[in-house]
Amino acid sequence: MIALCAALAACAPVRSGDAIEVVSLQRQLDNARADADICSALTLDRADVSRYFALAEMVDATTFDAEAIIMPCSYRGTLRRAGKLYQWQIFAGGAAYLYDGAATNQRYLCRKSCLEALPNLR
Amino acid sequence: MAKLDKGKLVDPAIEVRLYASIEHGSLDAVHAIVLHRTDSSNATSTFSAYAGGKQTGAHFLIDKAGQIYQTARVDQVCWHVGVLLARCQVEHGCDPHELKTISSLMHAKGVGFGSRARNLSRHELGKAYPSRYPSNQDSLGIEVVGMFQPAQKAFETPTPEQLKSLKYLVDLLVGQFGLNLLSDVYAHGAIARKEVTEGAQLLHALTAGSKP
Repeated sequence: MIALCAALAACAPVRSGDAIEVVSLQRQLDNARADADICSALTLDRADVSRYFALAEMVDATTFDAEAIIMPCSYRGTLRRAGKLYQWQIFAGGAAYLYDGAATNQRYLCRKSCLEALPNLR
Repeated sequence: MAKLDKGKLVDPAIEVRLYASIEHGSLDAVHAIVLHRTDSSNATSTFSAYAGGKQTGAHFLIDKAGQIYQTARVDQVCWHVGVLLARCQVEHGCDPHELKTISSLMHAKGVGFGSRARNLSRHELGKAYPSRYPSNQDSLGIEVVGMFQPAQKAFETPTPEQLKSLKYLVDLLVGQFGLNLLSDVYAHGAIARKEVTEGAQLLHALTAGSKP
């Protein structure tokens, strides 16, 4: 039973009802990409990150593989939800990961309404 | 030696398991092979997605045990490449005019990041291979099962069985379509807006020790 609960928690997307505390965030630029400067203007703050995980859609890996565009700039950091720490990374354009190095390894896409709420990410 | 029969590779090492949802019309030329990772831990989830009508996918899939599946005919287009990078920009070979065009597309004001990337990809598709990276219209895709681990920014290490089967399949396709292993086989992450490490381990394993 405990294992099932742990598994279910690992699969649960972050939603607006979840209290999220963004513990840290840091801008990342992948200078290995030839055009890393194209999204150097990307800016996200802690409130944006909370809003992102409230509005973005958690998708399975095959959907993410098909639709995600991985841009050379992103923000990454840690957040706390229900007392547990997770790492996250949100890319310019709206793709993201949420993971804990163990059971949680989630993919998110920020679609139309999400991008409208986060114009800096669009 | 494998034989081609109406787009199907007839070979004892290849199990043909075609999915109509990932075939998108006639593939008139094969100029290249693109190496992918599934971002899944087993082949079942990929097969389920194809069976469920997923439209993106590649021509072949290699599971962790090294079994090769042909999932689309090699004379059919698969949507497996996605949003292309600008080859001359990546390889520092653009003439000044082309560099200016690329820059204007990627710095267009009032256009979202994703739209700018897609606009540049469309611009690239106006070029002929090999001036651009391979596209859906002129390449075959091979998926190799393996999860992406964001913490490591890497895909899980392919099994020895997967690498052995990949070499077998790539050698077969290179021979069948008159390709060059060193110049016509690409890691997906090197040519498209995907994780930069996608396919890199596979390409390295294929080409290690080969000379141009």
